[in-house]
Amino acid sequence: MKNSILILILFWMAGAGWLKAENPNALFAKANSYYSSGAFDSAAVYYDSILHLGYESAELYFNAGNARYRLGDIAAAIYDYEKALKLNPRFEDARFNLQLARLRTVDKMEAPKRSVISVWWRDLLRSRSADQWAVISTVMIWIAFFMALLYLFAGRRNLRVIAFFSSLFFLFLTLFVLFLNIENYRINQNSREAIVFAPNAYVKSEPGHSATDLFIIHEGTKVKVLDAAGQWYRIQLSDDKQGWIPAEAVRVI
Amino acid sequence: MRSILVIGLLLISLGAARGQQADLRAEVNKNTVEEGELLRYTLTIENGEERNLTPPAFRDFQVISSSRSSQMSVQIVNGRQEIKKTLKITYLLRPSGMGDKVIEAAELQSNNGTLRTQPIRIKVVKSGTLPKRKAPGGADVGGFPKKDIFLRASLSKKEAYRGEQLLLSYTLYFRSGISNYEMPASQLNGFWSKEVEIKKPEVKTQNINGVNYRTAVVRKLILFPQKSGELLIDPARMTVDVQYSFFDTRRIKLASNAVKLKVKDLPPGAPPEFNGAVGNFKIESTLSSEEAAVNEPLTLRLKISGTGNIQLIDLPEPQLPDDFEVYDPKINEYISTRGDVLSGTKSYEYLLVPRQRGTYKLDSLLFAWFDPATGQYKTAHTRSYEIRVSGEANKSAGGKNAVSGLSKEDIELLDQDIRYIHTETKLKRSGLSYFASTRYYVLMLAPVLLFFLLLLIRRQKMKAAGSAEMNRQKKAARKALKKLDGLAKKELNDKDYFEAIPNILWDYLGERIRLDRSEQTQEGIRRKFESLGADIARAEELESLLDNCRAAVYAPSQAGLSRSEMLERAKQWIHRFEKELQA
Repeated sequence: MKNSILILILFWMAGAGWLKAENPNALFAKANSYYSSGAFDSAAVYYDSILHLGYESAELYFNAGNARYRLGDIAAAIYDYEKALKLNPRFEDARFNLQLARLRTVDKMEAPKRSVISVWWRDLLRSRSADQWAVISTVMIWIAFFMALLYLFAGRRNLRVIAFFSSLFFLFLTLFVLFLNIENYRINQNSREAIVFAPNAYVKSEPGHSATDLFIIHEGTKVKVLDAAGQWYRIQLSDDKQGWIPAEAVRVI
Repeated sequence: MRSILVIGLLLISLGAARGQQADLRAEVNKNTVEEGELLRYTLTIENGEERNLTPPAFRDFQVISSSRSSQMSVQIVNGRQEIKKTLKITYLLRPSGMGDKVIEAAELQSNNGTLRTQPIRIKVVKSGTLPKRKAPGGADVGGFPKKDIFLRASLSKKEAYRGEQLLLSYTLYFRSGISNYEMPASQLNGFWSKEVEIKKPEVKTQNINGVNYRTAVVRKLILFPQKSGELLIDPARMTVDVQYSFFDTRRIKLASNAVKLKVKDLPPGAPPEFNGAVGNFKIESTLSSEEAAVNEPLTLRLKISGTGNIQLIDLPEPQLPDDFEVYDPKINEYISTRGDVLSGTKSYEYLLVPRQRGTYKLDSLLFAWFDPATGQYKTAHTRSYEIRVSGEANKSAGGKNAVSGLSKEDIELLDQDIRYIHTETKLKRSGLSYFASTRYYVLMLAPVLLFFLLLLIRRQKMKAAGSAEMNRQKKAARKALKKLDGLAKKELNDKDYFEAIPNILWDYLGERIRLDRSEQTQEGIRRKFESLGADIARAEELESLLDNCRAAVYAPSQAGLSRSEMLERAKQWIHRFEKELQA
């Protein structure tokens, strides 16, 4: 209640142009100072206001997640940590805090065993975000380009041989990273993930409240959204169990 | 063995009192007599006059004597005084002849119409054929006539469904007083049974073929057949102490008849919930509350009641999610055999402890049974509940006992706290991704395009450079030949003339095959020619040409060739060399 009023005030201020003047970085600093003084609810509201202004960063989500964790809203904390990791998959602190937050959820699922190669491939794909992969491939292709220039215009024969092969090498590297990039992007597009926000939810065999109950999941559990029909999502858990769940019970990351 | 004293009971007068209602009854002391033996026939008139009686004609009998006795009794029923008059007329008869004889009906005119007794059949056998002093089982009955006491087993139904309840009763028929008896017992194979307790056997009168018997149901059992097919209940055996005079009590053994029962299988099409309940039931449930806090126990009570094999059935178990701890139920059973029917209630009390907050469904429970009265399966269900559990599951946040299902690594993490917030960040407009953006495409495609562009430019330049060279090469021969022709026209002395020819040739070679000044040696020429793949003869010819020119300059007397000859040779060599290069 208190939070929603504060949000309303912030929205009003945003409408009145107060916040427009306010630099999102200043808001971030303000939220951080609220957090460090222990006012986690105010901190969370300020972090949200930055998001409402249309700005984001891995650290912003991480801090917002911390504020939610401190407030005991574990589902929202997990959601924010997942968001942070989506922007930066190599965010160690977010990974650590996510692990701690997951300890406090009800559902503990064992992922089924997969082959070493598929796990390694998945880890490789997910070790960078799509944008990070894109930056790497851009850098690679420019290196390949400059090597090609060297090959074309170098006077010395030895230099030209080295330049030729390194250009070729970087070109292949670029193509490989580009492939990873596209795969990563495709996987992310195909597998939307969501966090359960309702305290508990019955997973049904079909969309519709009268369908058979298959099992129950609880708040904070991460699910994969496979399909949607009306106000229902077809979800898959990390242990491969599937079913339909009301869309309002989850929030898509 | 339990035995019941029944003497007092049996001494009560058994005349049925029906107020002022008239009644007429006839009885004989035995149905089978030996020839010449006397038979006693008694007519009992209640509330009637003898003048209205028409006694039987006794066509097959000879009336030896008749006697009368009357009795009057006053009863107060519902505050009303009723007077009952009873007149007994006893005839002593002797049957005439042997075989089946009949005592005809007696008639009485009364204020409520004509009363008529049933004719009584009497069997007259040859003297000495009736066994005396023999019990039915061959035991000594001490002069007690046969069939004066017997035990009958009877079933309430001849046909029943498997699991359907039915009543087996043992009735003792007797004419003399009984001081003591033991319960009849037999093996009941294929049945589940429940004893109906008889506190005080009720004694009734029954007239069987004219003979009045006193009857008492001595044992009752409710049976539930457990298998289908023809089931046989073996004869039950019992011992009775018969008292037929005050000082003469004898113990006799009796055996009942065997009873047959046809047990039908339950019809097909049982609902999946059916688990053997046969009868008529109803099921209900109560939940202590639909609102609860975490760890606050709730009580769910399931109750099933009705008639049938209630003791043999189990109630369906409530299906609850793992978020509830369900303790083993407390089962209460109340069974009654009132009305010779097994009925009762069975209740299950479950203790439910919610462990997580949320909204949970407790589905309705289905219970199915077979109703033998209609021959159909029936299903009933309890109501469903929605339990709202509030509160916090893990009150001590991150506390070790609050969480479950953790791995070893997780438990080590429990003591740790989350990492602190980051204060440095680069906020970006959300929704803008670099990958697949215009900037990305430009930056990715630019080097490729630039590379091809540069390649193209370089190719163009090379082409231009190449054609210039070729022109120069093509022109070289023409230029050299022109120079040689020009030499003839010039007024030059021999020395200058012969010095000019090698210079023209050097210039030609310089332009045509890029022969350096440093290479203007015999070896240089040969190496160059070799690398071009030209015939080595051309090099030799060139050398001799050059030698001739040199000789003409420094030793004119020794010169073998004239100026025009030399010129011609040089021109021809150029032609040959050109031909060779073009080949």
